[in-house]
Amino acid sequence: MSQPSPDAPEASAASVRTLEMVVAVFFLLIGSVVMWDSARTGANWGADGPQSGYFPFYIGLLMNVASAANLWRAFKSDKSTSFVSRPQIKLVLAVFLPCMVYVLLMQWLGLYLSSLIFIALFMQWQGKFSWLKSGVTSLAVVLLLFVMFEIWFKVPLIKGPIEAALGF
Amino acid sequence: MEEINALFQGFAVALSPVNVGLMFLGIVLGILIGVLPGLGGANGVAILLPLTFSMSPVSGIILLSCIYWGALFGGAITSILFNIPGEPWSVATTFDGYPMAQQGQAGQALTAAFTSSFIGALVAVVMITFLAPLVAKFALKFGPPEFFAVQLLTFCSFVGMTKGAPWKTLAAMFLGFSLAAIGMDNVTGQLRLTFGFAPMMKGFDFLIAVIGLFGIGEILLTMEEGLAFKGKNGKIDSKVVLETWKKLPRYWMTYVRSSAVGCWMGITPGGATPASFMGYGIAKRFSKNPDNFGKGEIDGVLAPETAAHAAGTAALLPMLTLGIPGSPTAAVLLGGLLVWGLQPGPLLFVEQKDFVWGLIASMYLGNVVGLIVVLLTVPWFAAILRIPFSIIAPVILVICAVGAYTVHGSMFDVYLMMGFGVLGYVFKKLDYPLAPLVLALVLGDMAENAFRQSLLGSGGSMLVFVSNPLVTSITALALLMLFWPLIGAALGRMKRQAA
Repeated sequence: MSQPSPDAPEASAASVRTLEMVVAVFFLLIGSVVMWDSARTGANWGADGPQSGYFPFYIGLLMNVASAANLWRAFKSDKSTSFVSRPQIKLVLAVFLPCMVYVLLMQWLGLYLSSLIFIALFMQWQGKFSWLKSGVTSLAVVLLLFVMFEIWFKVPLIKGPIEAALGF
Repeated sequence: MEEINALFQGFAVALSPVNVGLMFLGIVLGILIGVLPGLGGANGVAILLPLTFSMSPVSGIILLSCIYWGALFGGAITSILFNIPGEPWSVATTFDGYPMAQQGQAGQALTAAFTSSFIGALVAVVMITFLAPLVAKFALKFGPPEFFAVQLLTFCSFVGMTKGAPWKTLAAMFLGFSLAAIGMDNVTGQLRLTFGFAPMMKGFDFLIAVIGLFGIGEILLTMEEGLAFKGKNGKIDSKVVLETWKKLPRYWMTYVRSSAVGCWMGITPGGATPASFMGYGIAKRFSKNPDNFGKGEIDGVLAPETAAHAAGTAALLPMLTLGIPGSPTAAVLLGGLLVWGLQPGPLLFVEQKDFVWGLIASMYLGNVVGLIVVLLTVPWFAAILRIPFSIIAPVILVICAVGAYTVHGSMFDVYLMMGFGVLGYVFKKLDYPLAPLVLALVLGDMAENAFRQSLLGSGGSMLVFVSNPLVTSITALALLMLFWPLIGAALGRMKRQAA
């Protein structure tokens, strides 16, 4: 989008510098875990060649070097640039959190029923569509998915009580 | 001449009614994927990959590669009509495409974009036809040290070619390698990085990472911008097309330059996105009226589109001949080869002639089909963008979840996809490149095996990577690429001092 963002700088939820540092530390943690686990499985030259941890150990080491450089550069960068503004992060969470709930529900309700609920509720909540429109749209999408996967391509998706009751 | 004969046999394979039908289906699906935000070449192909498990390898790859061509075409539609790049490689197309559309020249801009895409792809396919068999023949002589050196070159090229911070490229790449190491070690049978957690034992599937990083991450980014589509109508009639075509031969030098840049960037894993920017930059530098760039210069549409398509297509050359993909989408196609039971690499040209030449023939045909389909259907696809985002977003999220689930039929993968989605969102905002991460995840095991075998052969001495002229020159080139950010900066400083 080319138009300038209307929000003032004080509405920033986090600075780029903070996020850069968090990500660099995240990388450092992973790098250290990789090195530690590689040392456990053996990062030396064994009786029959390189041990399991030989290659990953150096991967972890190099990752730590790169991340340390990133952390240092982030530390020296200025604090003023905003990573994400408050209204923006609200919009992002408005998609992400319902999606998390959807994914968690899939385990119990099956993919089809949870998708039906997710699309309909999302349309109703974010798009202010009527119940009828939301319901019909999401039902159409789910039926199309069902025909495509279960019938045409014979790829089974995760199912729940409704499908069981219908005999699938 | 041998190539020409093989190519004609390939056409015979690709022209079966089923394969032509799949070509059309693939192109249409691909354009759709290219137009929709959150679905792109790499994750679109990844989601549809499980649907091809039951097809023959040739049909499968024709469907998937046509989806890729379609996505390359589709990216231009949204860039020109809506100023929204549907794909990262069409960002440069918005610079002049959207101003042209605003001046009422949407038809000309679209025709120019599609035609240049077609030409860029065609140049790259011709190059693949004649160069790929040679590269494959040459690569048959490779042993483990040479293969590892080529892998090293691939990854070092990322550091040398990407514009962003080299340390970030390295960190992202090593994260990919670390993720690839998770699971059982094929050589010793030991479990690595699983911490006794059962779902980790089979390792990470890169398809899940692709769907999360590119799909979920993209949706979150798009959402943040609070999408409001305000587009121009994409009407094209045959008069506009013919008039634009008449003008195009004047720009032959732009085509030559952009195709060359594109082919080069596709083979070395620069990929389509940097190629499109480079193509644009070069066209601007050589143009007689560089001040018009950004205001609706047709050159500014031709150049990035030609380069992006040439790069997108050329990325398949190292995938077919060496088993090393030049772009994330090529990596997904490579994953497909493994699923269909084919071993990517130089032997493919010897053992699977029908497959290889069928694919190459389908590249010619697919791009012709693509050009026709895209010219005929632009208005419909433009109309899709008028569907409110509150419908498109949940539907795409559902499609991503379905795609992640079908890879192994496991819920754990779906949770993992969400995790990668967050990672993709944060990485994109902080300019951590995603392509090296994905490629490292794909190639990690292969690179490690080549490394181990090389060291076994040499009894642990690293000198094996400089033991003969061939491997030494590849290794040297790789190191040159790795330190290019430093060398480039030093050269720049020297130039400035001299001036």
